[in-house]
Amino acid sequence: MKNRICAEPRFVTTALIAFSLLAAPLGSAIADETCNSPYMANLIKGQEEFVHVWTLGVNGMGDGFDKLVTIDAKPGSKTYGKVVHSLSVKSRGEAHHMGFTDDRRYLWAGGLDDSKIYVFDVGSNPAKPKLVRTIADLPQKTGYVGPHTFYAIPGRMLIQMLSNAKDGGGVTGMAVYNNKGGFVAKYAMPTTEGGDGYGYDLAINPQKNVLLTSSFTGKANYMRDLGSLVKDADAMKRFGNTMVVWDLKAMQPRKVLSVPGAPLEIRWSLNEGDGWAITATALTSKLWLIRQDAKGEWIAKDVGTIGDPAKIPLPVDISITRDGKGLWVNTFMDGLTRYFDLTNPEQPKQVYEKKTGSQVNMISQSWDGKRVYITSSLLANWDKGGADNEQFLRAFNWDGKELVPTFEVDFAKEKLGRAHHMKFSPGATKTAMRGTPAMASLAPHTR
Amino acid sequence: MRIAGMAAATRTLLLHAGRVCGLVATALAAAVACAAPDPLPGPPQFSFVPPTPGTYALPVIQRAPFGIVLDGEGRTRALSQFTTGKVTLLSFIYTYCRDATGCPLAHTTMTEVRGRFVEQPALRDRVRFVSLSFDPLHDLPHVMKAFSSALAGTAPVQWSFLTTSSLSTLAPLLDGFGQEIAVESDAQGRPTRTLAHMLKVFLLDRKGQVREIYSTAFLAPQVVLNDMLTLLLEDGAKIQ
Repeated sequence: MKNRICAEPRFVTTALIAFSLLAAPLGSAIADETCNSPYMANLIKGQEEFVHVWTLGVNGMGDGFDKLVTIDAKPGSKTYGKVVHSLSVKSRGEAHHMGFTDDRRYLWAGGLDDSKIYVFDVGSNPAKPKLVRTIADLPQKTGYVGPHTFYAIPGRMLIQMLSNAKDGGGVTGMAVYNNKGGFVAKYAMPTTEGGDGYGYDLAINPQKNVLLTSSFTGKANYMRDLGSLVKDADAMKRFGNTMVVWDLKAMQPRKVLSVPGAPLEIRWSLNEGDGWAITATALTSKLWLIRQDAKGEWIAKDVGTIGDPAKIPLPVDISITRDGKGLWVNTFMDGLTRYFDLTNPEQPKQVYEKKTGSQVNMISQSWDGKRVYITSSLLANWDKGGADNEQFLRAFNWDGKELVPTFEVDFAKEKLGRAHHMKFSPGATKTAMRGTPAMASLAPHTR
Repeated sequence: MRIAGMAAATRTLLLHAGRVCGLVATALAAAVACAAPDPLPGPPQFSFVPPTPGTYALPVIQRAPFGIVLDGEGRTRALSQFTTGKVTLLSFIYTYCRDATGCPLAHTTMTEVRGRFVEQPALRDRVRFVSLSFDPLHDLPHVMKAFSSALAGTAPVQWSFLTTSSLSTLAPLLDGFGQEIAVESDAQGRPTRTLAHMLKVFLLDRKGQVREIYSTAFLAPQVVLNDMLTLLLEDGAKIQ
């Protein structure tokens, strides 16, 4: 590696103190049709018909287990806005994020506590996903725990972990499994020359051969009761302050970027010709732009704030429009959904905000940007309490000016659990016939 | 990184693709669509220099499946004869594929990479290229042979064009490689004439282990070439 830049300790410390004073939770998210891996096939560019929600089980609520909940999102359908399927995995392991395989047939979903990975078949019948495989050897194979981001690469799944099995700290790495569930390789996050070893999200720009990673905190923190955590000054220092630029082909770190305050979701602009990515820092409530400078060196640049950082709004999930001109940002603490004009990514401007819940975390948008979905849960031990502990999926239409509610599913009332990560599926009727048996239908025509 | 010579290779493939389509239509009197091929895409545009061969690892992803294939003469052969013993670049194709970002792109890339080895006598016997048909119902051995004569030429680097005897013989190979395929349906749910598949090109080492899988988003001739050289270096080859 070269040109490492160390973090700015004073800045981070200040932010952490403010964070602890406000007892604010941090969290995570990736979602939506515009943030899928560039290696994934079959993007839904029209109407998504199902929304799958990876849902944390809650003791005493329904069966209490994590589950994949499927909701009908097709306007005009008899079951529009209703839960049409719920698939319990019969254990509770801090359900968190999901990612499709490259062919979009399978959805991999992870547990941050038990480090299990569940593979659901959503391609055969998206209205009724099936659990087809459980991968339980991640800690044994890698020494890492807390599978967070699932990112398709050809024939494989690249997984970013949050922690390690040894001490539950934030030093961690990535793993690669093949699509059949076999372990392929692991890669440690850099701990030298400015690297803090932490991990959170990852995203790839194939045209530049760049894998970009961000950093959060370890299991000892994210599974801890939030009220206790924020009173522990030492624990509150153990958050990531870096992003790493990797040579994707070689899977070798090339440069550590200083991005203080737990940089979370990474979104590359999908606009052809753009070569930049954007992220939001949870602790410091800032937007950072990652791009190359005039010499081709990768740099990270603070390009704006999200709300009033002193109030710790806690940006958690972001969603970029397909043209790279707009960015949704959910801030957990104030329950606001904000929209930024990214026409000039060097100077993002907030142009809209709406209170969408007492606590909001994930935000997903359709490819055309006309529909936006929001869920509520951050982490089981970090969600708000009492009446503020709303658990929902809320759907909206977006006309460029206003978010208009369309439907809502109350996950508490339905006894489902805490609604977290969302992924979309097309309708079953539009799914092509798969495999060689389907090809037999071609025989009379092609012989 | 735009590879010099690609435009010529693309033009060559266009020419050959048209010829093959004509041959198929004549020989089989089939109702295969032989319309003028769609304009082929250029190679994906990449703006980086791939890492130097031998400076990085290509972990084993999976083992290539075992099975039976047919060569251009209709002879039964073990697939392993085409997946072991040499560093191999393998892709699934169907000869009437019209998806410009599918089979044709794989062909242009394989043609380009193969051309690089033609220029290296010390290495060209240590590599192999394989095109295996998705569609045994249409791509009979003589069809593949006609296709290969048009595309492979006489260059001294092995490029084998294979098919299978039946869908049931093909199925475990597709499953083993993890190559998805589907028959696209029309608005009424009826099968169309289009085979939908995600382009995947597989790089195998001498032991028949898959070491890299390329899709459209990362199918650059220089990247593929460097990966093949990396595997050859593993085997002790001397790279000039």
